[in-house]
Amino acid sequence: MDVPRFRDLTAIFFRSGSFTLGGGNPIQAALHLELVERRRWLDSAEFALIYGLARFTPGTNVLACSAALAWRLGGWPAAIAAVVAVSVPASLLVLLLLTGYEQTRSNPWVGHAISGALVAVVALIAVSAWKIVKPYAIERRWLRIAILSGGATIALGNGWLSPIAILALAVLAGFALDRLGAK
Amino acid sequence: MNLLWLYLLLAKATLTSFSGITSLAIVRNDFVLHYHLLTDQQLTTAIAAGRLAPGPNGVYLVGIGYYLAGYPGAVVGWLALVTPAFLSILLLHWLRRYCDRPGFRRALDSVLLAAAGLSLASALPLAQDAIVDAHGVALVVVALAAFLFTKLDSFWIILVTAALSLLYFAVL
Repeated sequence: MDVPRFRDLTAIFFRSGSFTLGGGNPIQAALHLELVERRRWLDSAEFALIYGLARFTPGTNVLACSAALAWRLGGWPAAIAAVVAVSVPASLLVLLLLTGYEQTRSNPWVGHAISGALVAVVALIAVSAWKIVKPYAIERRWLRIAILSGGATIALGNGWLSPIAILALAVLAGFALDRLGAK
Repeated sequence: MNLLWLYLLLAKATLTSFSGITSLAIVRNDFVLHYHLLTDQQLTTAIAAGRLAPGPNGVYLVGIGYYLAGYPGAVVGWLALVTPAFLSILLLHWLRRYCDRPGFRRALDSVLLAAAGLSLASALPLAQDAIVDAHGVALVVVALAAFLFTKLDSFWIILVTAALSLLYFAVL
């Protein structure tokens, strides 16, 4: 396998992060295509290991995946450059959108367009939550879903516990369910 | 606003979430409910801007930082977004031995299932603000169907619902 040049490696992360819509999974698919299939800088097993480890990393999975992939190929400078390349263009676009919105929101047309967009965001959050739960639903792990997801919804919705306390309790409840033999 | 304090609160949200948008529950709890520094409308607008941009889903934190402290806040939001990413390199050393252990995987399963519930709980008050009439109900049904049953990117779905809302406004 070739050793990638810093500039080429950073350019791949920039292109994958800046021109791929749809969030983490499409970006990681683009990185797999570039790093494994086209350039063969990594083999598929190593990519899969890093992809899996990124799932265990707090925060945004695709940034963790980018940092680890670039570190593996070019050390810390490459990791820092990759994270910057994937996240900064999108961050600048968010700022551009928000400043544009703030300047035009008194316009009723803009207000109506934004109210439509906000409804879509609510749907998006609900569907994102469902996509997390779906694999467990397919395995019919209903008791676990009811206690962990349902319990978290009720506990936060009623303001009984903070989100962090709920996450900590969920880990304990998960182990308790294992002990009880629940799926 | 103290930028270090802002960074620590946002980093708390990113360091305790395991995908882009699951930090939402902690962000809303801290900045909307507890400190009253942000409105639900601003929170939802930041998420919409984040989804209209390419790149990672968690980039909405840049918008949250911007709403809270202007451009310096946006930089702080970006720092909070990227900080956990570098943990993956440490995990590559340390965790690769443990990540196949069943207990570890089950703990992560529990966190993910609870995080889904937290996201849903955070979406409910946003829905109350965003869906106020029959037109809003129709739009959310269209958006849900599009997210669930098509392969359209969220960028296009958000744009189409915005256009439908404009059309409704223009016709009536």
